[in-house]
Amino acid sequence: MSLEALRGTRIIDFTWVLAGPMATKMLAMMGAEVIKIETSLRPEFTRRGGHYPIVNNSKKSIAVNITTAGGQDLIRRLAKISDVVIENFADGVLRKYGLAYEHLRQLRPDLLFVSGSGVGRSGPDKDTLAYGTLLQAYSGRMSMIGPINPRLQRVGLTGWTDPVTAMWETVIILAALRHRKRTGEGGYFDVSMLEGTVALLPDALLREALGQPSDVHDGNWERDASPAGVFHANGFDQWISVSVRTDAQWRGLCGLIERPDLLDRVEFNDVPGRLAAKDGLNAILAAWVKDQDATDAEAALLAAGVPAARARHTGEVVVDPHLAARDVFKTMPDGSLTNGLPWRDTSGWRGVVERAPDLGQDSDYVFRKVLGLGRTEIDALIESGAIC
Amino acid sequence: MLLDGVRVLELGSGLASSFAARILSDLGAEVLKVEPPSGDVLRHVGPFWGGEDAQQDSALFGYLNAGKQSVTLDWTQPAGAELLEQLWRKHAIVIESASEDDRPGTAAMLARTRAAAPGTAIVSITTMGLVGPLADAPSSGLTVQHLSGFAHNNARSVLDTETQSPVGGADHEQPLSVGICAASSALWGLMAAEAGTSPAPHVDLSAFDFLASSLSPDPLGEWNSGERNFERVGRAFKGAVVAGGLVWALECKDGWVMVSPREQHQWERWVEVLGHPAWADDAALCGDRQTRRERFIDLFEHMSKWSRTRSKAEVFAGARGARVACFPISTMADILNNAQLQHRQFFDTLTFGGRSIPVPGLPVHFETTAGHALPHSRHLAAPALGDANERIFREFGLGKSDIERLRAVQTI
Repeated sequence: MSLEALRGTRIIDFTWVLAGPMATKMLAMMGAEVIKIETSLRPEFTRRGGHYPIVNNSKKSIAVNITTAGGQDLIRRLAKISDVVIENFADGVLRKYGLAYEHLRQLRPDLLFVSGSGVGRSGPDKDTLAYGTLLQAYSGRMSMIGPINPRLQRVGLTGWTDPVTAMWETVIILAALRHRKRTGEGGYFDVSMLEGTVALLPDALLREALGQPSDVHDGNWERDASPAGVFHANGFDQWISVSVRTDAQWRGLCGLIERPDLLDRVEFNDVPGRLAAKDGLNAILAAWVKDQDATDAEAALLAAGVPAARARHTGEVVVDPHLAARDVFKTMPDGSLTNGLPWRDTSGWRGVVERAPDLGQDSDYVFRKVLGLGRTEIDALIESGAIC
Repeated sequence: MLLDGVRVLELGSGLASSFAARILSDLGAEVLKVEPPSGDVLRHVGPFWGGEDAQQDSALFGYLNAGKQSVTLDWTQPAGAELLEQLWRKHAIVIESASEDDRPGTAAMLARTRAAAPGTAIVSITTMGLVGPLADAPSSGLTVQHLSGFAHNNARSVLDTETQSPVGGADHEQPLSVGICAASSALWGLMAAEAGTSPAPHVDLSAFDFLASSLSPDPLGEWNSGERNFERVGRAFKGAVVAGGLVWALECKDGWVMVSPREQHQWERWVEVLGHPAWADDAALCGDRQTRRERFIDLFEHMSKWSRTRSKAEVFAGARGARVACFPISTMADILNNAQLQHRQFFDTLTFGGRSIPVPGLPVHFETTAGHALPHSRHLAAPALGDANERIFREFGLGKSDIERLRAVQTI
């Protein structure tokens, strides 16, 4: 099917944890053959729990010990007939095993080699150990979500840099693959998680550069809406987000909260006026919301034409009827949920979504069919520990 | 460049669509931005070159649109619609993000134009999606972060849920991350069309879908393992222990650093950086990883006594020397002066009216086998409103009188 635009593309995937696997899952859902290089020697690959089944759908798995000569030889043979290699090891790991770009390009000149890392493969910090969590600090984003505090509460520490990096890697690889198809050019691609995170902070960066520093330390702050924010409703941990941008929404809100008097106040008649009075208007809205049932208030606000949403948790999101109608989550044969492509084609297509592989489940396909090895050769590689 | 020869038409107004087209432009595509004769509303969204009082000459608009060309066109007028259809046929990709009010008219236009130009891949970016029970529900960039569970995950967990609300992301992260995704979907659509899909794909990308599904594999993993309690309380340490590691934020003289000496060998080296204080020998305080997790706050207090007398840079340098994972919590001034980012020439220069400021470039360095490398440290400027009008209209064979006529009815 031609919606599977990457059908016929073979990707050697050394990546682990989140960013790399999320990127190669995107490509696998578009039809690429992604072969994960795994090993029973690393707990991440043997455990396969938590997010593993959600970020590794539609891929193949082989178990190869790349620290052995036999394992390295297998990868070189595979690289000769592959289109993309992607990795997120610490700097120098693949070089040590003779599997870096400068080695593999000798075997496959038009190879696309993608290297994902915390701060990039050059520069003074390139050897610094960089976890995704720490990059949220280094990029500066954390302190814009909430005030920094010892327990790191409410500063958005959950998944961000990894999925964002996956999105960057996806668009870069797609552009590179298309270019390669037209020109035959391979190349080396060095993606920095830090840079991918910083690029999404233009408001604060531009203000700093212009000498108008931002003082926003709240991820619920909307500069161009008023009243706007997140308000506590009646009940334990019940919150509603509301944002009023237009005059029509303002009229809808005043009608709903039975404050027609506010419509007579000329200073609130336009957006600049309401922005100037944001604190006061937010206080009025907060006073109304605090006695409301969150679900009822959300429905009433929406019916009045006012953008509003109760804060939902994952347990509610996975059964949300709107997302279900759009087929966002896919049920795997074991009953677990995963996600398809983050977009749908208007035909309803959301990519190829198959269960994540078992460790080494595609040995037979890759070693025999793709590489054409015989049984004796494979047995010897198992015996020597190259396949394990 | 990678996308040489790919022509992209950008319609509507939004940070996500502007950023998506900007990314494709940086990768070599030729982007034509269609603006209403009055200009994209983003031209009036701050920050502004002249400060908040100016309310014009938006630097944000410059960041999101540098490298593009601008054509003005009112496609709600019949003459404008005809021009748009002609333009559409010449572009491989159309990225559109009509506002809620413009959605019905846009849907009709899309259906008409897609039939007339079936080879063009379309990406529609919305908050809620083109279809589904909530497709027409009022929404905003803030509300969708709460609706999708993203805000809940951002503030899970906290000690006091009644004062510490769920919270959205930083800055313009929400629309811009959707923009990166949109750029990917556009290239997928283009490649699917080139592989024979006809009509070319029409991508329905919503912020809601993206935020709900693509950012939170860990909570979904919890759901799969049978967890049904997603309360934000009772998990005092969960927010501080991410990806299996212990992470401390430590206060310094001039701000904060984050440090993660998670493995035993890292911890031992970190203790040496701290000058091997007496408390470090107390096994009941920090003897092993599990203990360090349980005594997290006590250890914070001990380590902070040391860090509060030092600068962020001193702590960072000390930790780096000992190969312990540590970074300062940057301010934007730190980021603009960051040696790593400067070494990699991450910032381009955006100019306007004789002034120049640094703006982020693409987060990648590359070079192809033919020696084509991504340019860095470029000098950029925003397109002036309608700067491509003359060229575009000449291309369509419009004479001066045609242009005057269209201008009179404010089509251009």
